[in-house]
Amino acid sequence: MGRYLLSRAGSSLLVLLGASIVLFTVIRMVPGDPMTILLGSVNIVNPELVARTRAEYNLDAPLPLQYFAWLGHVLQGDFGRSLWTGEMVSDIVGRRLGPSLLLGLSASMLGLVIGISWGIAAGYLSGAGRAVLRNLPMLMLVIPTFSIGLLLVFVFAVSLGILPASGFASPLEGTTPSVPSAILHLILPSLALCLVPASLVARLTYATVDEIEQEEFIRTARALGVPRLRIAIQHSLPNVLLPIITTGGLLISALITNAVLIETVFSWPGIGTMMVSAVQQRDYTVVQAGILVVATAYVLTSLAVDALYLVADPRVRTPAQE
Amino acid sequence: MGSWRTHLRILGPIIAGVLLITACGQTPTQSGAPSAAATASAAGTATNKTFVYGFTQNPVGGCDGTQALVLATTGNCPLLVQEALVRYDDKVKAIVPALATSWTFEGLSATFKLRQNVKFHDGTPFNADAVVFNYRRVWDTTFDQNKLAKFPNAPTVPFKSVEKIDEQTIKVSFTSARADTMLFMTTWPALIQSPTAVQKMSAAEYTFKAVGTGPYKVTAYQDNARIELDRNEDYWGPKPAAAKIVLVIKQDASALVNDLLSGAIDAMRDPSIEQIDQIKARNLTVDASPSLIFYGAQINVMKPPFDNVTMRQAINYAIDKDAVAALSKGAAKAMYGAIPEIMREYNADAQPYKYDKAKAGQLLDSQGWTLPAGGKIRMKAGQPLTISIIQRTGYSGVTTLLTPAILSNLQDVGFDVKTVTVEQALQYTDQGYFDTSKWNLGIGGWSAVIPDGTAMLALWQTANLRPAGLNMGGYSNPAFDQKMKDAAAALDDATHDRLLKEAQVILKNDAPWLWVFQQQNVVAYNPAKVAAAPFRLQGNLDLLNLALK
Amino acid sequence: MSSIPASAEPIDPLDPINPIEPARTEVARRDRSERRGQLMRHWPSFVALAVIAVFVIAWLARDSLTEYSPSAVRPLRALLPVGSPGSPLGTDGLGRDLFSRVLAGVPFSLLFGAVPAAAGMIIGAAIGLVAGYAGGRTERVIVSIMDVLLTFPFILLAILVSAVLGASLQNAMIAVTLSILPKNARLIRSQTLSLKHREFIVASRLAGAGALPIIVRHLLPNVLPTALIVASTDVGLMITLTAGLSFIGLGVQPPDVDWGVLVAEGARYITSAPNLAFIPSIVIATVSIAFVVIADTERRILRSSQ
Repeated sequence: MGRYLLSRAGSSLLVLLGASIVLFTVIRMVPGDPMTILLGSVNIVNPELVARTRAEYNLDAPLPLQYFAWLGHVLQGDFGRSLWTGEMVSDIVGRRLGPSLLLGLSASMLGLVIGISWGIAAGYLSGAGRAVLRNLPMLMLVIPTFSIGLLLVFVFAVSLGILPASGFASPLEGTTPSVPSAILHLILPSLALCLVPASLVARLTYATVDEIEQEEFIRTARALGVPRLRIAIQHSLPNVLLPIITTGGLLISALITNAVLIETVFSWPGIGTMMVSAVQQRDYTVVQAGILVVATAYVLTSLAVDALYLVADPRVRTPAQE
Repeated sequence: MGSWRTHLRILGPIIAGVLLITACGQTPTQSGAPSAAATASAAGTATNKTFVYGFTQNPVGGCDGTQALVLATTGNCPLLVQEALVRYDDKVKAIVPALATSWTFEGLSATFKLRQNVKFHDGTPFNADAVVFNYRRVWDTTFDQNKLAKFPNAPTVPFKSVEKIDEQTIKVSFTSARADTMLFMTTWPALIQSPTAVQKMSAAEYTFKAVGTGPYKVTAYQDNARIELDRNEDYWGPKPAAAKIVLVIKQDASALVNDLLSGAIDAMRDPSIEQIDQIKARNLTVDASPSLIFYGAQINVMKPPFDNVTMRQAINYAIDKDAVAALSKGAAKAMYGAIPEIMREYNADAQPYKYDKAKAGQLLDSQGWTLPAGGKIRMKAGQPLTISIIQRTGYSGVTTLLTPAILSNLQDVGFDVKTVTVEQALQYTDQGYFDTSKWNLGIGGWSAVIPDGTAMLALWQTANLRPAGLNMGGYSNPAFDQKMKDAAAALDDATHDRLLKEAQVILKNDAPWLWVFQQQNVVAYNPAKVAAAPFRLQGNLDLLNLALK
Repeated sequence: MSSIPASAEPIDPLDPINPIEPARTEVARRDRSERRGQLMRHWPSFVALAVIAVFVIAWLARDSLTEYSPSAVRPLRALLPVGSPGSPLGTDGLGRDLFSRVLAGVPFSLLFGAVPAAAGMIIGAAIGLVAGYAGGRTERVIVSIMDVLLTFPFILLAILVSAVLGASLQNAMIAVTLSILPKNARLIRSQTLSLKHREFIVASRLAGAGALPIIVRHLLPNVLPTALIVASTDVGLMITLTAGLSFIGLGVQPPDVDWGVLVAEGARYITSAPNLAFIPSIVIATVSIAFVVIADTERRILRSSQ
């Protein structure tokens, strides 16, 4: 088990390294003087900064050495300066990371809870309810998430007026930190974001339920009159965790992609909106930092999910072939 | 609202590099005498309140006014913290004393009498040495301080030298006599910093801890997020209303609107048009005031069909400017001629281009472009009337109206319009607007840093053609150039204004630009807290003349 | 990206070929009247085809169906509600007719769906066929690359492409195509693997046929049905995905119109004119669902004929 994890960690590292090389190369291919690209027209007028940057980023050396200089900076958390505002990119990322993590975590938890309940209901209901609940996930995957976000805004913020339409309220910082306000602002975006992962989880769940239902001992239990809910909780639930974990990577990926859309709908000041506006400004340093941060988060969570899988599935606690 | 920022960035060097003025003949002296009405600011009474003001554009470069690249919307901090020797008062439309109590201007030189007993925020004295230090820092390339930073607006003043005459007097000499020099001395390159503070740290650090003599001092600076300023209780002049000012910067205008509605901020500038009604519905005030910025499209006069002046006039009649103004909910005002109405040099007789679809059609017909029966696109000798408009991404607020409105109006008079979109960051590159083969109309705007007609009309000078300047459309008229040159050298207002009015007539006849609207400065504020929130013409909220309740 | 040991077969929630369904026993019946009945069972796909046809025909006939062009700014007609004369779906903040603009978006959105789905399948299938047939080191290399890319968040790719090449329709299509390549490659490869050892393939190889003829003449026709079904589902997914890119500003740029752009513009007026955001949203959903339904029917037909 240790060996498997180690090799997975190793391949994750390779993936990240590969991604960083791709990023570095792609952005170097952009026409223009690398110094301007690193510093932006704002800072390029500062001679002290220019000299320092030239040395630090090894801009006079061949490309591979430049890559390592850049990588060195990145590993220390220095992503350079925004080409648009001149600010340190690490400061920008630092500001944006909190809201994104908050949104992602709450959407994940919400997605699991809603998805599993939905799947169990789809598994055990019959008739029209069953058909609806089983077909809904596929619909959820093709109905645009941003439209659902807008719908939630319209219903709860505009028509009913009970939740804020957009924006992020920090629970800890700012002029008037407030946990209740933070939660109120978090509800709609998390709900909108959790629906796609919830659909995926629901599908897995009711498939598991169907499988379980075929088992002999379950049919016996049913015949003996054991209530369905108890069967659901005692047997379906533990068995659905495994498939959810195995598709963890896919779920996280869907979450990340939709997070950018949802952040836009709700003007959520996260990494997603940071990257999108950076694209408009051709703010390469910010785009680079954003992609690196998100890719790292994705790889780390995938790794964690794989580790979880090993813990969860006792069948696998031997070195596995890949 | 992005394109004018770049214009401003280029404006300084262009104005300087372009006009080769030699002082000749009349050099009437100008002097500024202090008058009680002028020195007293129109501020409300001082209170102990905090004023929180939100806007979307980060003051790039910090609080050192001499290094500021982007001026209008982002100059809040420098204007609160630093001062120049003189100041332009929007109300009386004249230059009034600030750190100098009186001065004389003879074209090639200016002599200032400095105010006594003024201290910088760090306690060091403001004196002639401080002024010499500051001016040399910005303009004297032999001075070591000058080499530690860049001063992008330095070329706006034809500086030659500065000397200390005595403890109270300094004299500045210029390489050429220009009418707008004193105006530029009221602003950016001439803002006075504390020499002690400047020399204590690097330019990059100093700009976030700028020290001046002004009515506010910087107490906290978080770049692109929040700037806090406390009132300088030892200020030499009248105290402004707010005891503390907090500047909140958020890229997203709707987040600011939410803050305004919830009371987290007291005022914001440029709310998005769709939200103006919403803001008014909640009993908040939305004020608009004239600015020095206008928008429309450059016409590529080198490319048919607009190499023909009648065609250019035709499209100026074809655009319904009043409709755009109406759609903007007060954020824009229709523009029928070459300079905004607020300018002193505005020529009311050179404003012909009100919306006249019929006239546009006639002019097009007269050039042989006629509508076939039942057709929508004009033809001439079997060719359709096709043109291409180039725009950039990232328009916000009023500027989002430009392309759709122009597109629609031109289609209505029979043009076949194509659009080309380039990224905001590529606008002024060869992949963008500089490739003039790609477009007939280039969406954009222009503005002046100072309320001076020559700055406002500067774009159309021959010297501003590429690659020197941003006159991408290729317009060049020696008669216009001559008027501009003479106006810049005319040190008396009457001659200056007359020449510029004549220049406007030339421009309206040649129609090198598709004029659409003059942008207004729009501020939305909470009337329960704010009694008045006036704007400076340059585009900054006049935080020194705020009136709080 | 998570490589799970072979002992646990992962359930892929997005697999359109083997959807998650309870085990059913079906007996295929070939009676003629039964066949007609079977055809009628697939009524949802007829509805779906009709829906798509309606959109296409409406677009073709747009000049006669609409009074205003999609770009006609009419300030006096700003923000008219649904059902207004001349603008049955209302008008936007500049007075432009929503119905006309929705129709104008049809070619863009369909293109956005069809082209990446087709390209993604053609290229992905090629990769999968090669990987599956070649085996050995080639296969391992391709598989590991594809595995890494498989669940990589697509939006990062789209953002990188837009940042470097610029935000435009073509670049959005490139990004989207790249993002579905890996899954198609993986699918076709697994199909190839199962076909590789069938008698007729083995026979051809023994008879001395080269790799390319075998792939083209034998493998390709057999993976085609699967490929078609997946590609059809992809069209639906692509339409939604690319609408998302346009929504955040990385796809079609105004004043060009696609449904994602319409939703983005409409979102600004959600308080005063919700129709501006929701009508294009419903259109996106409807057309995507239509394609998914068609793909679902194809799959059922394939199933029942096996």
